[in-house]
Amino acid sequence: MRTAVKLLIGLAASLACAWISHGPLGRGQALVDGLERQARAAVARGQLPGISVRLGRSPLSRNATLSGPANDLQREGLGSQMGLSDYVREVPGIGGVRWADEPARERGALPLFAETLILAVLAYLIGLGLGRLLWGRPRREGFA
Amino acid sequence: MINLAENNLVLLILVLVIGLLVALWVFRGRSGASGGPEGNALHDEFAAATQDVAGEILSVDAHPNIPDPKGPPDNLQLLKGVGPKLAAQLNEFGITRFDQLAGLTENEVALLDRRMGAFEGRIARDRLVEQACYLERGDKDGFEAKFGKLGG
Repeated sequence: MRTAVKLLIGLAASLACAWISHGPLGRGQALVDGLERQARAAVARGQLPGISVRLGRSPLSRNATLSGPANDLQREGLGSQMGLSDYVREVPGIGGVRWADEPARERGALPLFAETLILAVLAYLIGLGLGRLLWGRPRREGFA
Repeated sequence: MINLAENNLVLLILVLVIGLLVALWVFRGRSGASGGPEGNALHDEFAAATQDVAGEILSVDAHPNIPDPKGPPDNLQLLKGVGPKLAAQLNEFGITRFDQLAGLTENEVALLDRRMGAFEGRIARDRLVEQACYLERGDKDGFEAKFGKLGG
């Protein structure tokens, strides 16, 4: 079997594992749920009533969208004073923050599934690289 | 991203292992570590041992079972160490293709080598089976990495 075919079979298996983990096993949904809980707690620190935060659900993403009555100062803060966006941005794992009534100023995060696939491809390549270090050294023996 | 990686730690370890296994499959295959046809080393050893012992006990002159060629002949002189005379000698035993050579078991190689006359022992010594394994599956890169440039 050709080397390229073997590598593609491995890649397909890796991507399939990523899909199973993200979808059927629910790791993607669990991550977004966890991040949303933390983002809500962060918004609560701002002590501003009527503000809600949600993360992308269709497709799942780590991008947070804030909504509710808040002026620019409350939203973005001033100097060392943090705004609501900053509180949410500080949550580890949040990809980006925007307000529902504003055009997106930050580049939106990739869908979570795409990020998971990228991670899986990177891990696969690292595995291949380690394998090459372990078993791929060309050994020329005779006839050369 | 770190948070995402932590969330998918099991997946990442699993995929890393897949990468390692594929690397093992690719690079071990290339280096021909099994020393013979792929995937049958254990069976070959068992069969060779059985045939050796049975042949001696029964005083039977066991002979290699070479399958009929399944296609047009290959240029056996592409194998390192095989010239026109050795190629002709192999042809006399019905070996005209790389897949026939690649399919020989260790025991069959030993039996054939004894009948090679002036070329006795050359199949094993020149690792013709291992060479043929590469050429049979069209792995020119693997062949050249191990045995040097493929000649004409």
